[in-house]
Amino acid sequence: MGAILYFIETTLLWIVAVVLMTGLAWRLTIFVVAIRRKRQFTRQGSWQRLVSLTGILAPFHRAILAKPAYAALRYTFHACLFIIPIWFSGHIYLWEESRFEWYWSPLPDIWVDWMTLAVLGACAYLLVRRIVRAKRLKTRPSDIILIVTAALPFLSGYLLTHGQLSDIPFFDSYLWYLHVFSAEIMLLMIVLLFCRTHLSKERCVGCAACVENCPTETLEFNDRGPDRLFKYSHFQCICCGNCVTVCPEQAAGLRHDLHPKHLFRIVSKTEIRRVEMKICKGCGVRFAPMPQIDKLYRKAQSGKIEIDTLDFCRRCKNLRVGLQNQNQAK
Amino acid sequence: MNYVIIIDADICSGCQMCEVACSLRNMGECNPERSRIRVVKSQQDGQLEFVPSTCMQCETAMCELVCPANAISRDPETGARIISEKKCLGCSSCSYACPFGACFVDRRLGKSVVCMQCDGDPTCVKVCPSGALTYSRADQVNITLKRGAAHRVMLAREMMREEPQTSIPPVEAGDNC
Repeated sequence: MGAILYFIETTLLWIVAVVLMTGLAWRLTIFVVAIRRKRQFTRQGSWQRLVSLTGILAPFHRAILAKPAYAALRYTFHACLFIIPIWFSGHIYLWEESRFEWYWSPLPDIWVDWMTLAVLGACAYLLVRRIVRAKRLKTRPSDIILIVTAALPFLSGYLLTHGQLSDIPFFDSYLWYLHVFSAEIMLLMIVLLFCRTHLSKERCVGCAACVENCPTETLEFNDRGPDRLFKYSHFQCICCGNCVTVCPEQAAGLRHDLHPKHLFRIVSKTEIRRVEMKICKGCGVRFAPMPQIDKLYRKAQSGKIEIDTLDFCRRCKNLRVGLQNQNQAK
Repeated sequence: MNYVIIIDADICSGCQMCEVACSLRNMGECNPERSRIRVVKSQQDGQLEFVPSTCMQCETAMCELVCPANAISRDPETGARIISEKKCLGCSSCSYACPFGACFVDRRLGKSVVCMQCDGDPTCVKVCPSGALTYSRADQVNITLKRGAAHRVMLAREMMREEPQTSIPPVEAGDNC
């Protein structure tokens, strides 16, 4: 037992640090390479690119404006997740004592206390929400594990600093190791926990606007075969939320996706949506996603517009109109 | 005042100069796939025909009505439909709704593109060697077409007056043509 505890405190910490650094470097490299390849972003000037990147950090788009309170909760929660471990006075004291002798000015303890309570409150709310509305939110066990893992280091840290459980011998000896171990898992999750784009089956029409606006080529589609396939590569996603912003149907969403098999998908891609393609009446080529054409039909009916060319591909439309003009001229 | 590019498919020779020039001016490369004017080849009853087609500048435009981002508007000077690059999402609704197949999503840019008449000076009209493309005011389309037809009738008459050639000049040896 003692050996395991010693391992957690020393060797595992180093392993986690190395994995964290290499993982972050790897993802940054992928991000830079992918963003250079994408024509849409290289055409912009450097300051324009900076503006669009800050837009990613503060995305005030429709998906957020629809639920402002919930969005504010998520923002504060994620900000606290980063601020508390870095600017807590106890952690800075440990850094100062270590061989690096780093020091930076800490936040007042009372602030950190309140932020920790905010994180725990948010975790409790998210957990209750996941359990109560399990059917509507399609809760999987991984979602609950995720929330509990996020809450554990903060809970144990709060109890450690306030010393409320030190009378119980079990917690007195093992709470510190629980704190370190859960924090190590959190650090690993920064690299290994991927967000994933979800395209809702009810709303998505397969128009591929998300693919066109993805800055890192995370999302891809191909039209080979009878269907249009949307593919997603886990390691390239930087969670910028562009797909959520641009989706004209509000069908795209970003969610945490904790699944062990994704850890091994460093290069491979996942299929996230499959849409049937419509066949052109003129030449028999599959040219457009079926749900989008249906949607355009509905839109035309509600607006009382007559469109009779929705069933034809681009080439057939070109040809038909040209030949009609010719016949009229004759 | 609205302007349009008038297409006379009868005299189009199918050289595709307009496609090359359009993609070179607007996309920066000679790639007919990315051109905003298309020359479609059709074979009917053994007769080969070339049909150029581009944006017709409809009065009530389908593309404008179906666009979910309201990215399509009219150029105040030429009256041409222009697609705002900032607003366009690249969902290709306009390309499916367009009855002429004029606008399309350029997969390299990720945006929808349509003929915007090169800001009042269309390149395709300038380079067209056969005169199948004309740039004129929208209210003079009929008269321009009639003028073209009259011109062709005159040409035909002149050709009829000339004596038909009776003998074909012999091909010289060593000439590969």
